[in-house]
Amino acid sequence: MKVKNKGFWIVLFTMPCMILFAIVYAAPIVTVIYTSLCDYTTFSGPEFSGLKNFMTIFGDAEFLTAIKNTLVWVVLQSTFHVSLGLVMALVLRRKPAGWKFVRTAYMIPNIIPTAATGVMFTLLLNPTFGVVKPFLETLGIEVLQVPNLFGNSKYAFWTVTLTWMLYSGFNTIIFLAEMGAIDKDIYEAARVDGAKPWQIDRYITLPLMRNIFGTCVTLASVAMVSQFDIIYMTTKGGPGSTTLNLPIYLYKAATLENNYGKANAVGAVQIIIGLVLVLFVQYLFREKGEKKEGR
Amino acid sequence: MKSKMLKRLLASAVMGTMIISLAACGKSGDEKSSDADDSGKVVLDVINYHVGTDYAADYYSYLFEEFKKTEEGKNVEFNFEEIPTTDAYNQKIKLLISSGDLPDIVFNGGNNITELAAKSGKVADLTPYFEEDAQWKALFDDTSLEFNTVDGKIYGVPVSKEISYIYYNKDLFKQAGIDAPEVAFASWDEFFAACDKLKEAGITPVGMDSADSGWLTNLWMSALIGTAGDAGNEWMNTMYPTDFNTAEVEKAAETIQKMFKEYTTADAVGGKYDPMATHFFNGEVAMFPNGPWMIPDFSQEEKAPEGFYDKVGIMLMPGNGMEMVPTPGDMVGATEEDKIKAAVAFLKFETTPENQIKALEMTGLQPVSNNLDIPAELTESDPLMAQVLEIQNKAEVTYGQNQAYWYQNTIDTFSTELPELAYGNITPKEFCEKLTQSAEKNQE
Repeated sequence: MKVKNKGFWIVLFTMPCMILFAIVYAAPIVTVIYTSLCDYTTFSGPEFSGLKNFMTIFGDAEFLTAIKNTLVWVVLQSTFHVSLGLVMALVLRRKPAGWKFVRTAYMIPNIIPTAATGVMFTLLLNPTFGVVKPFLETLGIEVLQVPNLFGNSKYAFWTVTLTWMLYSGFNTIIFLAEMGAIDKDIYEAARVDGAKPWQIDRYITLPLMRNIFGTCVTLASVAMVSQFDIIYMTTKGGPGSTTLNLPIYLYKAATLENNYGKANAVGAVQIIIGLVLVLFVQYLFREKGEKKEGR
Repeated sequence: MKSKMLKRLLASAVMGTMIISLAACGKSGDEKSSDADDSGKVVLDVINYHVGTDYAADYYSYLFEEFKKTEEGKNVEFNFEEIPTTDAYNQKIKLLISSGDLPDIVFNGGNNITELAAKSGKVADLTPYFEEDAQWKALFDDTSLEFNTVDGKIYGVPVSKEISYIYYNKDLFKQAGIDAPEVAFASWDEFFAACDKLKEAGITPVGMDSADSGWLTNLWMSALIGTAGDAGNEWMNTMYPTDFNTAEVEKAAETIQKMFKEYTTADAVGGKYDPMATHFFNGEVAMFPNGPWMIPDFSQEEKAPEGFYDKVGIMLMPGNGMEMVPTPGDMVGATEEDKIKAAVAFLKFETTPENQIKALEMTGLQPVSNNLDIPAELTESDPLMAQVLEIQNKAEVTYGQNQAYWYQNTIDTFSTELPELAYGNITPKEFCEKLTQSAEKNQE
């Protein structure tokens, strides 16, 4: 059906969304970028100071640690975490015994508020009354001192990472939905041709998951750039700066140093990293798509 | 007006960049109540952290109810937002100072935010109210008022004095064959000799922590510095120190490292105050530093075993030292005249001699006024509290502590670097360097 004045209707229907975006996101982003170039504290309004805040943060070893930790978590989340969700989806797609229960149970960590998850892990892994000591004893391991998993910087980074890394239920659900949309005739044809289950996964399911995989990677990596609550609940970025990431660094600059200019410089860096990640992931997956089309 | 609007907009933008942290702070701004409702009542917005199991929850509940029965309070209603734990409350208040959306009465949650609030221009200057009521002003000594004064104006009404010392478990001392001193161990050497004896008897000597602000460890560290001669004492009575690499502070950090390694529970590193207090209540640690507000907990069965109150003794820090600071006072965030008056009336009510005594009896908060008549019955009804009132006069050395005197970010650095110190990942000198660097960030 041909629609008259198509452009007008597109503008009209997208207008509310664009206005909302301008008010809720665009205006604050512009303000963040501007005030990141200012001396701005609780005591004083913003006064332009050029790149001073950026020079301050990039000269701070803790900020560089925060960037490093953030990027490590981005990489882990967009590779291991998303892949785990995909593997779970591939297993559950075959509907083994108890698959509905597993599907539901695997979603539970995604339903529990992350703040509650933080408290739960803090208590579970408490070296005095948590599960670590009995667990080691069950394994017959005698230790003079029970490892303090959140308190000791030797373990803290990986302990915090494991509070979210294994729970990929959200991705599993997305992959399962995408798999459900694949035409059954394709599978039927493969079976008729004698393809084994792993060959069906390898040559049919996985290639068709490419786009949704890209979406999951985008969501996972962006989520890591703004990960805050569970780190705050468990370690607050410590011990030292072992688990410090950009949002915690920003939070401390704003609330403990009362330095909004510096906090917004961190915010600007965070926004840039987020945008670069989104564009990079889009590029990565578009390239592959184009190559495929070219064959 | 225009610049105020602009500042609000910019402050909102700062908050916007904090993404999830804002969500973590919970409830968004309540609808601001109007100056007066239809019945002519003044409605005061209050964020109350004295709720749930907080040591002063019953007292503040009493205070709000009783105030409404007074002449000044009969037309006042309170609109409460409850935030359990002082840590969460302090974070929230700091955010609200930034956004300018402070409650009408701003309770002070222990962190020294008076200067921050005053310089932001979002709390009322209370000097005229003190000047017009000489009787009220006379309740406070100069030190307490000066502590709440910024640029010559009084912004906070101190409601108590803060002191802290050591609680010890008499049974555990007896079990280890230690005679508890009447007032204090004469020196830190004697103190650690007692710790060694306790250890030999299989008893964990001291309670420590590192999470949140590392309150307990802060009290030990403040005592170690504050009792380390004149130089240490002067340093520990200094507001906003920026040089932590002094001989006394480094030595104290070294001792703290030793205490973490040898004399405390495994969960002290990374641990919060509450589980550490439970260790003390359960007789798992022998000595616990804290203030008189902890005394009511000893006889609360949901916190401590029955009869625990009678097992507790009190002593000052080694060398007859005691932490004593004027408290950062409660402030007025209201902007309309009738609300400011109502809020000041409440703060006056909170600090009447009768309510200071009531606070002492119900919560252990030490009266801010020096010349109050303490009821004689207190010796019988609360002998520990009576002992606190008596023993504090025997303190030969007094000093401050970090929550009152240090920069906010330095308190946080203290907390996050303590585990590194405890596990020997950094040296005491490096620990102090990190505190110095953190404090210096406030000079940028």
